[in-house]
Amino acid sequence: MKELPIGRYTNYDTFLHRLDARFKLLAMILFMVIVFLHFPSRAMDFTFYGILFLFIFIFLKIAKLRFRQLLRAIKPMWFMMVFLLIINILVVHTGDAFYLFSFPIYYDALFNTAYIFVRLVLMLAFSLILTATTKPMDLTYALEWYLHPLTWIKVPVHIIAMVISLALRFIPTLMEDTDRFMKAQASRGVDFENGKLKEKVKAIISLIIPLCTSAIQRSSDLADAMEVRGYDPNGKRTRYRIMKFTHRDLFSFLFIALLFSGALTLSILGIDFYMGILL
Amino acid sequence: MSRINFDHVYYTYDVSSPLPSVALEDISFTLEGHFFSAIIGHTGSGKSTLVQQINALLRPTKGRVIVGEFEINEGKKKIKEIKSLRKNVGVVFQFSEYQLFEETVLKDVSFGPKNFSDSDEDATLKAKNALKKVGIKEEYFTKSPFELSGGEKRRVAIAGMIAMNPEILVLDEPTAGLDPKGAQEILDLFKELYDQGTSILIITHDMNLVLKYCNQVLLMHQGKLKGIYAPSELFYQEELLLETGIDAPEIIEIVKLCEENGLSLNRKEIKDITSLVREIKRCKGK
Repeated sequence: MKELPIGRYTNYDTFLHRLDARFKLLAMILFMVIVFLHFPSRAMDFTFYGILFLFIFIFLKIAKLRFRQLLRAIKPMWFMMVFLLIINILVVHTGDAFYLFSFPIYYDALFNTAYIFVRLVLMLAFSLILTATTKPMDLTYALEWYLHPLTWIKVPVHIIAMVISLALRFIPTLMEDTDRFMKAQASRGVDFENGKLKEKVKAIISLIIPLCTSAIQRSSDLADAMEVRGYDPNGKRTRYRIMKFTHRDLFSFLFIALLFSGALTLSILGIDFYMGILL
Repeated sequence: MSRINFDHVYYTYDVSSPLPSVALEDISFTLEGHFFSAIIGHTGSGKSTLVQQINALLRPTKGRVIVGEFEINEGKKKIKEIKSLRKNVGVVFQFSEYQLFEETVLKDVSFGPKNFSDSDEDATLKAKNALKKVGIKEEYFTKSPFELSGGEKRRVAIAGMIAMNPEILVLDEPTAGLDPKGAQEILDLFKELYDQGTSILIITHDMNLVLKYCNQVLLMHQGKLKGIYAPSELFYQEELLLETGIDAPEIIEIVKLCEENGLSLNRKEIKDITSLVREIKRCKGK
């Protein structure tokens, strides 16, 4: 309960940490697009996945993040993957097959599962790197910056950004509350780990209701505090932190743009390095 | 008879993380018999962590805690044993009013006894008795706990623990944030429970309370136990108080002034204003 391992912000001062949050957000989206691009052959697809994994590895090294953290984030996915594999084996009946104890297993089924698995891991890794190197506040600013054009059609972007940053701010508080309520209810004999279904439901209710009421209480207190200090959702807001786009960001941007356009061209023109020999 | 024994207990938060924080260091003490004790110390001195070892919400990283006949050490325990331990030691947390969740006050208070496999009728009976003890009137029993005031909610939460009829009642800052009258009522309740045979261990920052009610004080400082004292000794040890950042009750100053002026007061007898006045009168020979 105590730690939130997936992409918790790490307070280091590395190249990746110093990059502009707006650029990092864009870069993550571009990388994710590459993940979902379709290349003419499987060999090409997996070559690109390999390249992306190489990037992830380099990013993790630069940002001083540990590879173990990524593995820990993937761990809960195993069950889903096994389930997916079984479904795929039962459903997909195209292409070549081999026989396991006279049960046909099609290669396509294996590949389908592999695709989903690899893509999920890649996406998870990129988002983990983004959130681990960018302060939540900066991410919200970046999002606000991208959404800014929407103000022309009267979308309240400031308010949305404020809502997001407040929501992020409350995550650790709610974690603490959960820990406290679990302990309080455990002292009253609630057993969160064992017990029958009915007892488990009761245990969860004894946790959720106090959590909700305290969350509502806190948000109403916070609303009062903001109002007292003159927050006006429709007023013009100024920034304490000014984001600057530096050389560092420019070069990184050019690099990512090059990579992205290269991948896009290969995908659209259907160029296959392996001439269809492999796979 | 209740007994709590800490045997060289260490506790570290986030042991495997890059930043482990040591909360308890080599704590050893024994509380025995029928006690009304206090744990005092600065914020972050490890008071709450210590208390959570007593009913196995946290387990020592090293060392062992013995409560009654239960031994809590770093190893896992069967849930049944832990449950019966938790029935014997009731811990009421800070701001306990937020833990209420049932539809009615009565149901919420009977939630604890039901968890310890009491029948519905027994649980309701215990709940009613507990609510009466904390001074919640019968017309409140069917109200939603969310309709009550802060002080009333806290009393209901404490009733939830009393209903389980624990041998030892542990309270983490039960009077924080209450108005003086509400705080006084709760303290009177603890005194009453103590007189009826429950042992009480209380975490507090209110030194007047410590002086008036407690018969022992555990002084915590930076994760270590400084010692166990009688309140009437502790508050006269200026250097120790300065080191640990504890302010003695104002009444102590008056006692010192009286002594400087030649009155030989019996320090042990002085617990509050009334007893101070009585002592002064005795010395003046009236």
